[in-house]
Amino acid sequence: MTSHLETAHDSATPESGETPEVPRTPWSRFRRRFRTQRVGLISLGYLIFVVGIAVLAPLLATDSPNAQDLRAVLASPSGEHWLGTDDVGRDVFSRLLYASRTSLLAALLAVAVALGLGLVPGLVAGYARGRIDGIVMRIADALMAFPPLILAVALVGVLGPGLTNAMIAVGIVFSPRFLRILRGAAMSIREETYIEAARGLGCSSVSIIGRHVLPNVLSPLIVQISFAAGTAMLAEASLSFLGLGVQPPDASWGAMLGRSYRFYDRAPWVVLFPGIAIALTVLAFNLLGDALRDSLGREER
Amino acid sequence: MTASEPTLAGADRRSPVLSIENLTVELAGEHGHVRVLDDVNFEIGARETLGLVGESGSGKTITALSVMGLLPKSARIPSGSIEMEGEQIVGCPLSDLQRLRGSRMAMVFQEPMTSLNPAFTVGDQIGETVRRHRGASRRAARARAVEMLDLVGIPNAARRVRSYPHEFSGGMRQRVMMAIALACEPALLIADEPTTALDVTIQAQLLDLLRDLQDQLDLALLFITHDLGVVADICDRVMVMYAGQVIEGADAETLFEHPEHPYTEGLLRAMPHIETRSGELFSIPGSPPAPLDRPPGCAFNPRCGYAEPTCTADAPPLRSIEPNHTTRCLLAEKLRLQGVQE
Amino acid sequence: MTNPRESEPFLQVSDLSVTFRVTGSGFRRVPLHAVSDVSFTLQPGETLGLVGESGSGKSTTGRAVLRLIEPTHGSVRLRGEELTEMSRKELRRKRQAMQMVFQDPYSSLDPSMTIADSLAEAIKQHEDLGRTDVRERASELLDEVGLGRHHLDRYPYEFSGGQRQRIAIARALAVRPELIVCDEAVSALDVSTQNQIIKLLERLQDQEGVGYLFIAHDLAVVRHISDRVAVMYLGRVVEQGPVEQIFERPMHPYTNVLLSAHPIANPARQRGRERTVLRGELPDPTAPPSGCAFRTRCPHEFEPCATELPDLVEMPNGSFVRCHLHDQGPVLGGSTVRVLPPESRGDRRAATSDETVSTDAE
Repeated sequence: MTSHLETAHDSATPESGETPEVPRTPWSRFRRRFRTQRVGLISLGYLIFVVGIAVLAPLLATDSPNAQDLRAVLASPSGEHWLGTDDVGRDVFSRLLYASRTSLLAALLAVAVALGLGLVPGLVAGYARGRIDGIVMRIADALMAFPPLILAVALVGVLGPGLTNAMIAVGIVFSPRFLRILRGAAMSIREETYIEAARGLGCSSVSIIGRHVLPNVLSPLIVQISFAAGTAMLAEASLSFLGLGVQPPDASWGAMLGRSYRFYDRAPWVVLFPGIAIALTVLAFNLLGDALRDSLGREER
Repeated sequence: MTASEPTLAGADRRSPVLSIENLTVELAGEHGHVRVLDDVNFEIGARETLGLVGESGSGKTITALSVMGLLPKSARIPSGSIEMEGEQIVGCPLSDLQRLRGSRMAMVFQEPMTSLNPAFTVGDQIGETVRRHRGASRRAARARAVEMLDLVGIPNAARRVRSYPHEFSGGMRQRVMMAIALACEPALLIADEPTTALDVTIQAQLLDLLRDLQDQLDLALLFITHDLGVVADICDRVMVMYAGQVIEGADAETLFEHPEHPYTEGLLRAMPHIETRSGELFSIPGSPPAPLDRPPGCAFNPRCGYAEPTCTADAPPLRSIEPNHTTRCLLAEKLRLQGVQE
Repeated sequence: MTNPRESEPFLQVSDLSVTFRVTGSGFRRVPLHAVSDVSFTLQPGETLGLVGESGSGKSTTGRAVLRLIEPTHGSVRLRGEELTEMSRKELRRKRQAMQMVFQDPYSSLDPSMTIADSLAEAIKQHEDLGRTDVRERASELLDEVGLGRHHLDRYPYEFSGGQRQRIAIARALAVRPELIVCDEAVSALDVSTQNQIIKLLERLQDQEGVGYLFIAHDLAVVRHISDRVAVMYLGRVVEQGPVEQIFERPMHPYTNVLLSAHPIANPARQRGRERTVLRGELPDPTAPPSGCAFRTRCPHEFEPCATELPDLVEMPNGSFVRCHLHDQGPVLGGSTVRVLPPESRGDRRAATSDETVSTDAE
């Protein structure tokens, strides 16, 4: 409404029957805008590719991920071992493929936990304000006051090591971020007139949150999920690097990195390839998040 | 006020401050360029107030932004000329525009809430223009800021100069905006709906202030509004815009009393009156065309009660029907249009 | 227009007050009396205009009547039932008899919902209908506000401001209200669209007998649509009465100033007009002037104004006025000195005291 460039486009004849050229649903509007985001499309393509690899790992792998070939320890990339072998002679290429499953699932789990913990309190705090908001936010602030990694390590210490526990810990650490974003979005939506109109119609608070607030926070939420997935993958790598995440012989990219960094001067490939995989995937999640942010949201006039 | 004060005490003919010829503006859209301003012509002289009236989307604001060189990047000016005190603005380098903005021409907007930077005192914001355009010292700029706040009628100017925008009410902020705009004594002030967001009582104060300032500073004033009451109050001449075109132009009294375009008549008839209770409100049927589907011929013909077959044939040009009265209506001579009474 | 003697009025608002706690200087919480002792009645089929500058409390009054903002004090009786004491649940049901149409057509519809969904939500609040019936009712509602049913599956962003306002009205009508609070409902629209919406509101009033509490700052629109008008200043009603009286014979200096500030769309007349330009701005509502709040800007301030709050007193013409000019001011020929109307209004007579007019305060 602050637009000084409002054009007559805005005012089709009240009774005009013709369908406008613009796409009809928010989804088609999103598609139209997202199509123009080249970096976002490439990132999405890459992530689909990674998911494809994870699903098809057994078919694509040239070797069993845990099979040790002690004759070829820290072997350099060759026709037999495309990306070389690690310190116990396991095929890096095959391990990398299988590890993508762990890494992706870990990210998914952490995001799901964070979302599960942050969604409802965030929406309720933002919509209800007042005392509920105060209590919820103090808890969130307390969680955010800890350095994230240390908190995650402490939580794993309580829950016990293991991938699932590690990712639950990461999810708990992340939940205040979701909570804050959702609260902020809910707070601004709460001021919209359609919320007041719904109250005036006699809608209950629960139905207003479900029907009006949630659908309108989806855009920032989706963007945040994308960023968080990248960060969760990094956190998983960190925890696995410290030996608190996935337990041997299973591998995630972070665990591969953690196990082999000692050999990076003798056999750089054992570090390089998992490192590249992590970096690219995290980057792709972040770039996708940026592209989503630019494509979601309301049409500007 | 500035170096070249014209010494034309009794002369009628002064060179205009702003002169626009055949201005056409197009905006890039999804389906190529869309014409949002079509063949606009006008001049404003010193001490003159020209009103630009029309519904939202009629091209009033685009006209103002063209003059200030503030059109969005997606816009282009395929033809036309805008001369500010003889200097061509269309296609001139940004540095020239930046020199002109603030010093020779300035603009105030509708939202006094968002047009000020909340992080700086109003004194800093007034002083900034003076320092930029006149190279004034910090101290001189501060003194000028106090002087300007005083000029726009803010009490305790010397103290208020240190206040931040949020400490002012809406009406006071609009005064601050005027102080910023006028700090370098521009020749032209463009006011885009400056009183629309304000209460009538404050609006009346600001209109009085604008009149005073115009007298003191020899301002040429381009006043953009949709409120015909405000036009009647402050404008010497009026141009009515519709779908990116000027459809009628005349001095204010003539335009209100003897409109020569059915759209102007419709706007006048649609105004609810404070003095009498009308039986039923009049509204022009339909709504303005989108820039992409302008009807053939006269842009107003689908909504016009007087339209004849010829109206859909050719786009009518803006023509003089009387001295100083232009219209784009083909049938103007035939129609007996109703203006305001008395 | 109404017949208050017959039975209890449909809506009776008495001594309604709303006080907010706001953070004043030095982070102290100070009370802000947004609305003080506002009383009025309203019947279905009737329109009460509520005017005043921004900050006068007119929107807060509208919302407090619906309890969208909790009143601090006073009573709101809807068909004899006290709304201010109802439980939230009960209120949600009762409130449907009163709906609200808001100023900003761009934020009053949920952008993530189709028009059909928005209307369906409202319809389901009121009656238990099956899917197809809900949709049928939704298209009836669109018809009623002059939009075709082919708009049902569209999203709000595809509509112009005027069309959105029609949809907002349709949504309000979905619960078959008897009263609609219109909060600056036409202010954001161009004059032609504004008139189309006003005509729609008038038609609905004729057809369905809806009453309106019409909150607006545009006096010309208020004059056109209202039967009675209340003028508010800094949270209080300063003058209230039949529309003709308020506009033809304003009794309160503030009403007079408001009328005089409203520009007339006629250059010859507007420039020849004698105007009272109000000095200053609205005082700080957290520290209102003592006595009569308007005195700091009033051209007629005299002795009692600073010390005593004037009462709302009935005038012979049927208006109620809160001004010392009329209770303590000089008397001429047995009647109080009347504030001059904004300008000469031809030879229209003043209303005489025996004219019957509906009264609404106490």
